[in-house]
Amino acid sequence: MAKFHLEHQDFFADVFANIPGVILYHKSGICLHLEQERVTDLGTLPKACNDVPQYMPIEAGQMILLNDPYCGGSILSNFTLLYGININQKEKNKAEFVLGLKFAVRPALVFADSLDNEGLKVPPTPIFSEKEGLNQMIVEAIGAHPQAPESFKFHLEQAVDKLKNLKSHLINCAEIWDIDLSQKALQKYIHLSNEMMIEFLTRIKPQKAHYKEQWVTGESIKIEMEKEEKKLFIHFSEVEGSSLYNLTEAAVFGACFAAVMNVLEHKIPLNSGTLECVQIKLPQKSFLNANYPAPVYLGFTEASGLISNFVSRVLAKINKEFQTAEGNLGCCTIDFQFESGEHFYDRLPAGLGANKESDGSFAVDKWTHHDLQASIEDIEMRFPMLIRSTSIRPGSGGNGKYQGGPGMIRSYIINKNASLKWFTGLSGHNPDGFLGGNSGLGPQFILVRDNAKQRLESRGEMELQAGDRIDVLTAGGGGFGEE
Amino acid sequence: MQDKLGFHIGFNFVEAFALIENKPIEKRYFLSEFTEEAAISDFVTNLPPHKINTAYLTTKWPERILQKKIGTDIALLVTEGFQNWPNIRQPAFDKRYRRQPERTQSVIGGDFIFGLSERVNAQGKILKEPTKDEIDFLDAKLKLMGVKTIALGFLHSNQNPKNELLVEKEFLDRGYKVLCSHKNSTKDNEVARWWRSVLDAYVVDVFEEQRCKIADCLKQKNIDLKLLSNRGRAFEKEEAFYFCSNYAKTNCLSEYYSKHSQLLYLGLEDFILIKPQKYEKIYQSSFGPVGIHHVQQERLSLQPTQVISPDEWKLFHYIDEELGFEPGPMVLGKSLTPCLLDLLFVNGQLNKFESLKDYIRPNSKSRILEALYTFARESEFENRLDDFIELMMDVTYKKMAIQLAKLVDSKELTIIGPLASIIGPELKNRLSKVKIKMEKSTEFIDAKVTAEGDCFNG
Repeated sequence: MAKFHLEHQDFFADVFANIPGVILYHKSGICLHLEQERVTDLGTLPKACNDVPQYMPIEAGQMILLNDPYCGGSILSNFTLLYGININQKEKNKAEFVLGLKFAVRPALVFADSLDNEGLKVPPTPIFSEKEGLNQMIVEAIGAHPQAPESFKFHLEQAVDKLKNLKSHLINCAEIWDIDLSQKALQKYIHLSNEMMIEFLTRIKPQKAHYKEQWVTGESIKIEMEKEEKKLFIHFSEVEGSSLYNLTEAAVFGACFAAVMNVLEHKIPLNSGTLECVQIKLPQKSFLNANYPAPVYLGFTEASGLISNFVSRVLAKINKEFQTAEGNLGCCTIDFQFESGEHFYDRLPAGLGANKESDGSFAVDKWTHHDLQASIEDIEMRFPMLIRSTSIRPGSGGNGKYQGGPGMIRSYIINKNASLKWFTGLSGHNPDGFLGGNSGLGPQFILVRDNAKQRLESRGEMELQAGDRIDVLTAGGGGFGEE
Repeated sequence: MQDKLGFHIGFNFVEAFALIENKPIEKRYFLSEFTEEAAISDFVTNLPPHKINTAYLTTKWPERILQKKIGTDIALLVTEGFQNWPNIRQPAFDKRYRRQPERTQSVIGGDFIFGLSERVNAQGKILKEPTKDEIDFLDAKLKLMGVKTIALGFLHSNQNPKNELLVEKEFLDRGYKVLCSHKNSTKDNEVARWWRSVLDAYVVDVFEEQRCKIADCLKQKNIDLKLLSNRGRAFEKEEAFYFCSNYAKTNCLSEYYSKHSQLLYLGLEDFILIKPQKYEKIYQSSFGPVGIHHVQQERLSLQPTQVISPDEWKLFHYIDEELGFEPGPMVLGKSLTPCLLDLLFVNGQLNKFESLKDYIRPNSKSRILEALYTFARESEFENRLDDFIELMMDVTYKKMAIQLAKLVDSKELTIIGPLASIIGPELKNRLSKVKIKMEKSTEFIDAKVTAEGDCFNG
């Protein structure tokens, strides 16, 4: 029987509408609402809210800052603030809820052998209290660190203000809505969400599937998936080590859950009731379950998407209607550090694989919601470079009954000397077509110096001279079905 | 006081207001029963003797042209190498994960965007001028395609418009209608400027056609027509103002209520929070930013024709879909799906709405109740239809109130518009931290503020 309406779901969705990277967590260990920006947030934000209070109790009115990926953070340019709050004001010191918010400073492409060399790691640190404001001593100390991100203090202050406003808004809304936020009522809501998610998951056939694949960067992974009545189990095994990627269990969970959301294509309220319907198991001591001091940048930015793609493919083995050709592989990241001090970072999306109903979409990153690219004029005003072109990469999508989505090309001419770093997770492999569809084209980086073209490896670092041109070509998706 | 005449043409209604010898005359026409010209002609014909020689008009024509996709076939000429950029930059259709994410559709297809080999750098230095040969080639191609209206969008044309002006002249000389991006604003980046010239170009012909019809109809009654722009300026036939006139109504409201800190406009077609005297330069449309000066405003997430339906979880909600007025709410149209206005109607709250009475469909109440009863029966409410309606109304007010709690950043809020007296009192009860003022007699406020004309234009 259809229910009339889940009051809490409506309430939380309205209160947190259009705020990516936010979480509300109850002290009893219930995630009440989550809005993710990247797939990894689905695992890392609940982990931060769950783990931090266990060894650092969060008092009401106190904010904890962290970016340590092994404590619920993600890449080091993303920070998480956890705010202890009470909504009904009965409790004074002990926080009944944790309100979390992720904020980002400008990312940089980093190739490091350890987390300590990827940037400044901040373990859970009390940074603000309502009585004393921001702890300026700690803020200055972080800001003064040689690895401190650009404009850290500015971004932190903005995030603190945003979180304070969010708390006021939540309290105000709870009063307006007159909503019951007692533990009992919240547990009932989570229970109902769980029941509905179970019903929703019936769209995935109750079957087992297993699949092993080797990535072009050398990693091999096996997934055994089993859909039972109330849960979807994803068991990773035979995971070989990686020289490039490291992930945490929380990040892998996020990537898996995103894959489930992706194939079901429906809005799923994110809370403990729905999240617990997917369970993962990882082998100890694998790159999917890394420990400090393993570096995580490439794992979180690249491999998380590869895991989501992989899990989607295994789900498609159970439900054939989810089948797609390979795609969303071969995004390209580029990073210019100019001698004059400017730092420019760009990440260009690849094309998607076609499926049995439609062509693949062109140049889109399906695993992140941050989908708007900076304006060409803004880039050229801020950085000593000229963007020669930004276009769809013709012919890069594989042919087929349905065409693979093309990737894109961007061509940069730099006006000042600079250090360049570049990376793509796909080399020597073209995204495969499916059921007779052709492969898409793989990614490329090309240096043009003095009119001579030189194809670069899939990752590297080099010095550029003023006048050099770098062409970045992202991969196209595979085609679906014979033409 | 001087006699006045104003019209507001929305998506579905023509609202008319005249002030003759200090006596207001007001009427609402439903566009499924009248054409715009017939409505205006009827109103003017039935006016008592007056001294009116100018009628002012605000419209939603630009938005309607976009929604119905009835604009002109246009071409966008951009800097070579960036023909795909407007489409690559289109935001994703929605934020959920999808197997095949789709971008929002813009009004111009990729086949109608062409590159011209010209370039200006960020400092405004011309690196390359367009050649006549290339312009000749494009001219021939556009003629073949039957395109007569062109939007120009060159990179950094706001720093140095020379290349854009050169190309504009060439195409004007060849008989095209040309809208340049640098004329919109010197501060917006290329994305906002290009979309603005595209939209200017897209609406211009249909807008002109509509304008002529109304102007001709008024001319027969010896009344001149003047439209109002987004900045409150009166104009007759200035094509550069056509698209931006979409924001004329909110500008008029902002000026009329300039001493009020924030306005909640509860109309029959939209619910908008307006911040008088505060302006923004970029409008975030569904397909990206558009450079347009307008009064700060936020459309509420719940709108008059918001659909009530089971969602993907089989929960009864307001879903992310507006019914619009074609086929329209059940109370006025042929829709089979109830919406917020229908709920207000069966709850007895639209009954005092005199200007709507003539358009309420016979037996619409029983049709709406039947649809709601089906929902109730499938839910935990079973046969308790009254409880179902009561709860839906409660949810309506709660949802609106908590969004307003987030958006309203002043201590006072003035509620205006046709539905103000219906929804306003409940919102007042729920928003206890905001001092709410209910303005009286604002059922025809759109036309009334329009009738003030350009008197606010400094």
